[in-house]
Amino acid sequence: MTVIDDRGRLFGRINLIDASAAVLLFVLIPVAYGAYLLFRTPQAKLTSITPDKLYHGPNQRIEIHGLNLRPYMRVTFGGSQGVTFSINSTTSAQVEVPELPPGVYPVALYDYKQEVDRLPQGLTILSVAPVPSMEMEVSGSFKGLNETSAREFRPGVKLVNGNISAEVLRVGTTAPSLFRLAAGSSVLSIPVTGQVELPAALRVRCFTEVAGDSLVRCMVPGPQHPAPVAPDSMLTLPASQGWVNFQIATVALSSTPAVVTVRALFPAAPEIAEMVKVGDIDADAVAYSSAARARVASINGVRSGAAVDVTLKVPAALGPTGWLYNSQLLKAGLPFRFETAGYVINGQVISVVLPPSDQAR
Amino acid sequence: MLIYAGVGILIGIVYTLSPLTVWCAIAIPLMIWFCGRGLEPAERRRVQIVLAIAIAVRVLTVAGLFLATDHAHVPFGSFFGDEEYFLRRSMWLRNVGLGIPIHSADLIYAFDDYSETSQLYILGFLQTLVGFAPYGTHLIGITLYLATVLLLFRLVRPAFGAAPALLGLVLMLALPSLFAWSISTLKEPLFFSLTASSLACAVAAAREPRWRRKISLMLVALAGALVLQTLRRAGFVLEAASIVAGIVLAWMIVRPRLMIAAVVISVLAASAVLARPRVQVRVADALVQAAVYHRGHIWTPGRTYHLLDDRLYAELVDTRTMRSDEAARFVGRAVFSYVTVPLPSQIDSTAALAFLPEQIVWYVLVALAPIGLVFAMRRDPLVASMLLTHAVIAALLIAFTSGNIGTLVRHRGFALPYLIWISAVGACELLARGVATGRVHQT
Repeated sequence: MTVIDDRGRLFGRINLIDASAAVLLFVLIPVAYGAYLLFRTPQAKLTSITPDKLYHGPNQRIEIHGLNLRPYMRVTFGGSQGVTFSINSTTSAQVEVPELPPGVYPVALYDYKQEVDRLPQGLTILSVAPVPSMEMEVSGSFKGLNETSAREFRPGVKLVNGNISAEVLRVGTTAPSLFRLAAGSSVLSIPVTGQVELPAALRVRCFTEVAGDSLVRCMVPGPQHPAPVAPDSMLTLPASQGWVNFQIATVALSSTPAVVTVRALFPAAPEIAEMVKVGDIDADAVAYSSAARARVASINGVRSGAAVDVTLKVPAALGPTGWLYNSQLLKAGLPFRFETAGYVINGQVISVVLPPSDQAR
Repeated sequence: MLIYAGVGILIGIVYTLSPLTVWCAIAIPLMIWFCGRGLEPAERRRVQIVLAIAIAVRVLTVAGLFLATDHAHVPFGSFFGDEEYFLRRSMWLRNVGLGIPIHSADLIYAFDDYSETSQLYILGFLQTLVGFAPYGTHLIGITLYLATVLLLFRLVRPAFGAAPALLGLVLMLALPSLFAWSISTLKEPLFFSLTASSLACAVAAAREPRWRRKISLMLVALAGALVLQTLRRAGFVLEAASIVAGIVLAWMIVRPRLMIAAVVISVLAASAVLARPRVQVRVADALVQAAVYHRGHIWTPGRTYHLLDDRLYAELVDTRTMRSDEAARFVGRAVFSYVTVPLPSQIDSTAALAFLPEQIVWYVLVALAPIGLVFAMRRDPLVASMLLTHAVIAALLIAFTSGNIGTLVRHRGFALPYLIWISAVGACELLARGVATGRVHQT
């Protein structure tokens, strides 16, 4: 008997093609599949990381959780490779995070050659510095300039670097530079020869901070440390020529305040009463731009006993207990103070007429 | 009669001073006699001369220690710092056992976890029987070491022949590092004795045709391994692994087809097993543990050597952060350093320079080992395999964990007593072939 006969049968029994197909189907394919299962390294999977939010800073560590994790893998955070990878088990590992700027990063897991899994938006790096959330208008002057560098600052110019942001609203003309320096409780004006300053009004972004005295201040971030928004405070702002100093003279709210009509009676000596004129502007309210400060709208007369009856247009903000102007609550019967460069009068509110939209309050 | 009486009195005096000296004086001649049994007179004479010199030098060294010690200032002398600690601690244990009050600090140290080993209890028990024996325990160490060397000699002699056995015997008795710990009261002589006894029992069991006797011998080998566990951490695992690997290797080396199949299957099985992440984690963890031990050695006094990348020696760096390339370098350096340290550049003191001759002998032994292995396997696969697996496993354990040059040299002594015989075969074969070639050239 031939091994393969003229009909292609093996030992006259099985067709060679059939036998080959059977071997392939019942032997080779199962063996190949078995070998694949046996020698295949299970695919690693990334399920979560803890913590998934970190504050910006060095020497931080996260734990990754997953399946089939192996030694000597790598983890990247948006392209930046993790400093170390310490395997705990097949389901967790410790990873030292490189110092990353604030932001949201995808977390990718690599074996020795390629990426095996990824968590999009897996890690958030939070900013340690507070994000500026308020805008305030300040006026003052850029210091330490020369005539050439002063020309850089024009209305509309934005001074931005990271979370430091300011916009030039108005500029004046250059003048010899004059620094206002605190010396104990006194404030001294010291001229700086060879430099000029540029008066300007800015809109700055700032964040609130509770100071040691429990008062809330708005702070403008700086390259070294934040500076408070307050008269005589020195801001450090980015410019094309580098960092420049801006010393605040006055501070105002950036929003347009509501105008409240206040009638007040100010007891005063006749000489002082005569000094009060229509159009006088309150010089003490640094929180408001000079265009939007309390002003004398009309003088209703001088009463007996030398008390001046005055109607004032007062820019006010609505607080939790009523309308506020320069930390003064505007209510009938409460005291009111008005100060100009020439006089100070203290009186009592007689009536408050609210803006039309707030009549219902 | 008078002479007998005098000898009796002398023995009595010596026994009173040092009972262990008398017991060792009885045991050592018996060992020498036993060792010479079945040898040709000329070979017996050579062996006995070598043994007599080795014993004399060792006993004189201990006697020298006794004489050199100022007993007015210290209670006893010792060769190594650890010996004094071991002897004191064993005495505290003895005193506790006998109910003799000891200082509370000594009581704490007696049961301290540091260097906790059954050797302390053995020494304590021995001294309970014969009293405080700071020098007699050295003689016990010598006797144990000599007995073990002779046991290996008797194992190797019929397996590899007279010349390799004699050369191995001379090296075992003359190499300075082995000499040093053969006279010590440290646990090395006992450890060596137990491993070699287990090895010899395993070989005898493998050759024994009668099952009852075969099982008895295997049980003795197993018992030896169990005692090793009490002596040194992982002692049982290492000894059991050495014996099993030796028997398997010996069985397969004479069946080439089976061996090739086994190698292929082993590679496939290893590939399948190592593909599992859980196994990979364990392997990596074992490597990290070895690195941690090594790093601990780096911070010990004395001259050290580095196996890891410099980054991993920083105190605050976690060894688990070792990367794959760093792990590969660690493995490579560990094997290389085990063979080569101390390199000439690492010898920077007179004391270290004194070690240079032995280091050269070590290099020669390592070079001769592959040659010797081939011939040893041809002559007696079982004994050769057993010696090989004992040497390799002991070497691997030390290679990955050591970091102090002095400690490495000392711990090389775990592998050296097995490697020596294989290298001796290589040396003798080369010598024989060299002589034969010389004769051919002469004719």
